[in-house]
Amino acid sequence: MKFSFHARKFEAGRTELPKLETYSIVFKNGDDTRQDSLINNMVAIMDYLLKQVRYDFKFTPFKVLAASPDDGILEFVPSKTVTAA
Amino acid sequence: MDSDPTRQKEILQTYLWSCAGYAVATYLLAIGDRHLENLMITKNGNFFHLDFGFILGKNPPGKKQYSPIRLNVEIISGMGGAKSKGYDDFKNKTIDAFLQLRNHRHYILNILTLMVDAGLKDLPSDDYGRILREMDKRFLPHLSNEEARDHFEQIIHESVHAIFANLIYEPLHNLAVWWKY
Repeated sequence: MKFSFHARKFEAGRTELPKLETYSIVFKNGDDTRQDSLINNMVAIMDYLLKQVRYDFKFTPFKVLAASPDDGILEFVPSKTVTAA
Repeated sequence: MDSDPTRQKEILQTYLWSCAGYAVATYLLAIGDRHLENLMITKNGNFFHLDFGFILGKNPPGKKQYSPIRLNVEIISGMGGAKSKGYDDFKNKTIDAFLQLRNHRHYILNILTLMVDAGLKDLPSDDYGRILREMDKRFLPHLSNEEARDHFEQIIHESVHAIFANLIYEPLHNLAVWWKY
């Protein structure tokens, strides 16, 4: 199930009202999202290690919040599957 | 699709970098069950994987992983084909990423070891020694940097050859999915 909402991203030191942006999250049931979380964290670590030596591999480690061993909430990155693109 | 040529070049570069990055990441973490439905691409060209239900060498029952590096015919044709400059670029970037991450082998494995007690399906606490040793082997720790470069290039070549076996397999998967729903 996909769920979208609008929110403003406030940053320290800025006085004007930030633009409303759309954020989407996906609820997933039936899979162990802790594995998704682990892999995305490992990808983020690799990204960090490579950025230390000035390599930007344009990784997209999306955020995962595991709620139980068989459901969780995932960040939705606007994208298409390779077949659809 | 953007028609501005500099923008197009930028998108292609982003695509090549991210393909290379994920090629190494999915190789090291031995992510299973890779098919076209869980390979995504954003409109800026960022390629990424999702759906990590089978990791660290595991695959769905009855499905075999054909190649150590997770590539598809479609991914390579997006670069311009197996004989194009884009593909050569991708290959060099992949090798660079691999050689860089090799330097951090212990760091990466240590962090993974911390997850052992979580009791994940694909990292069970009674079998983690074997799984982590296998992952360690994927870093080619017994080779020097130059040897590792050659060996890893060989692995990429083998993977690209192996995907032609996938050419037959992929439509079958699509058919199976269509059958199910």
